[in-house]
Amino acid sequence: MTDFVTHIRSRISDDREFVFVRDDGGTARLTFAELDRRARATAVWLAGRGLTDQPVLLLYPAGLDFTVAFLGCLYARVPAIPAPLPDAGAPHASRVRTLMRDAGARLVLTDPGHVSELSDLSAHVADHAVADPDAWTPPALSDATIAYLQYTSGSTSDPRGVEVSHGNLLHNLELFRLLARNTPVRRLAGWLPHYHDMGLVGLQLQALHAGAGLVFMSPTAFVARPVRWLEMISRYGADWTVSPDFGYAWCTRRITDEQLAGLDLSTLTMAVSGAEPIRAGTLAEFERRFAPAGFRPTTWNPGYGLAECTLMVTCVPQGQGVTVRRFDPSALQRNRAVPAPEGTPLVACGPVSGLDLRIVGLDGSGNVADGEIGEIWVAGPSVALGYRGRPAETRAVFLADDSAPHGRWLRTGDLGFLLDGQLYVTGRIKDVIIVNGRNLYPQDLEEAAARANPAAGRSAAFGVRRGDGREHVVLVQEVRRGQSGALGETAERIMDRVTREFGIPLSLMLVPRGAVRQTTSGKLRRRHMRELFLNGRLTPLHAELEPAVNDLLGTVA
Amino acid sequence: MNAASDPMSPGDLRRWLIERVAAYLGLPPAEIDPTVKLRTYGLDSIHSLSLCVDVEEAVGLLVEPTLAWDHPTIEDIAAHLADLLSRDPTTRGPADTE
Repeated sequence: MTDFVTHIRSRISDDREFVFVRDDGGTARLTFAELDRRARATAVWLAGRGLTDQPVLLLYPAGLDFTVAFLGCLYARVPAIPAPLPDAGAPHASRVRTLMRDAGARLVLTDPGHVSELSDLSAHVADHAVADPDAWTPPALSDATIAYLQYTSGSTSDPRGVEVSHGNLLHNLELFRLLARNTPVRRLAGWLPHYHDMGLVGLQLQALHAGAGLVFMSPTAFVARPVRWLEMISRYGADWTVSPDFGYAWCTRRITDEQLAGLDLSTLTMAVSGAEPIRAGTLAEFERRFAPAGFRPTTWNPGYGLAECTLMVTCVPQGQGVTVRRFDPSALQRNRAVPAPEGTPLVACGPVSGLDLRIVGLDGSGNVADGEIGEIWVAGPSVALGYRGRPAETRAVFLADDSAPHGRWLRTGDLGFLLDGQLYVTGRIKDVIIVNGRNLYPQDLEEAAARANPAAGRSAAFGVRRGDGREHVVLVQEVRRGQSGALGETAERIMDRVTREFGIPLSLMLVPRGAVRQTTSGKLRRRHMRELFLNGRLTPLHAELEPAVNDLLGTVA
Repeated sequence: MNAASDPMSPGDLRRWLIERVAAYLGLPPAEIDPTVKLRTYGLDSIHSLSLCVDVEEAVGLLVEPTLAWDHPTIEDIAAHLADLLSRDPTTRGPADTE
């Protein structure tokens, strides 16, 4: 079997269902059989409009309408593009247009509740009620057919859509299935957005692939009342959930003793943590807090992955629990993992299984030994086809190599090492910054800073990892020398703007003109700026640093 | 939830807000200066949304999710909430929910 549609259609039943828990607590449900029926009708609607092989943008709120539309696209051989529903307002609409242009998409689909507010994008509702599901004929699909485009890479102005094929999806979901070992997943529960690779593949598509039920809620409802996630697990007896580290940390912080008393997490056998660096402290604190509700430490499945490899690269299989080892921090800075009893704790992200993985030295000298840090490279059937319409970027990241398994190596841009058969992720050489499981691109932050202060010079944004393991945004901004009062006002204006636009705190350093370095070809040297910043080698005219970031300065060799 | 029968004084609101924000951030309440912008302490959009939920549940006021950006310090938020409360006699002050 080589395509996702045939695979999931062999699992259609009336006794498995998708349940969406609305923000008001009410539920909407569709059985697999009904999902399939509506998806067929949607596919008939799409095919009738001549959209076969034409990418379609899906702008939906959290809920079942998205699932139907996404499946309808797959059933019609229409590459689906899940994206966040834009808030009302101009910058978001332009973001959607940039994305459509990049993908070559001409149609936007949405739900009936949003079609009028998206009228300037000519959004349509693919009404499954007006088309005949029995008129559907399966299109020719192969493992190389594009299933969807995942836009989680690249900045707003320069988006990159990862082309994920049916073959990629089937292979990666098979890796997920094998994680469960002898206890196949019966019901998944989660809140991650469907436009996030972990929400799409890890929840929705995994449930369909495994023939498991899914109960899910909106990310906003989770953030507002995190107990709702754990209540969902309790009420529906879910055995598998996925979340970035922040979700587990947020539960530990927000859930009250009274709420805890009503929870039963004893049915959980898999709690995957991925999509951002995993903090040992988050796992230990969650375990302690929720042990009275029946949460077992062996439930954890820390993992590592990225959209360019569909979702998962490595993950700890069911029942094996967490491996945390401590390493000498100064050796880590020199790209070596040397165990040290009081050192920096790192969480193992599982063994290499079903894919080929190598750690390549940063000097380009080839594979490094176990315990040495280098760039993580991956090869195998989960490695995506490339970036939509971007041959140069595709060649740079998906390296053609006749000696590679399946002919290509994916350069992940992430740093890590192998030790005792486990992968540890230590940092990254790509520019993306991950805060609360969300990818932030430095270009977007720099552009926001420029809008706050058009007279300022260049700026460089980068992420630093604080002592507690969380990532934090630093912006180094060039300004003209001026009075300290005026500099303080400039700093305030930039920080207010970036904080409001992105909903994140940041540290800011104002530096003289010329201090933000570029290459001779005019490319911003963000990693170099980050090193200068951490080594205390920038001379600020003015600085507003978070205390935890201030503590880092000069302590990094 | 026990609705407080006494109207909330600005001081009560301020103390309640400090306690909530400190809990989100994992900081001792004494470290939160009500006149300093909350982003300085690392307040992000997740915390900001939570503050809206807590204000709605405990104070009985519906506020915008941008509350913490529109009113960037504890003092500013307390003043804004006190103003809303004074205009709407049907709402109550922070209740002892936890």
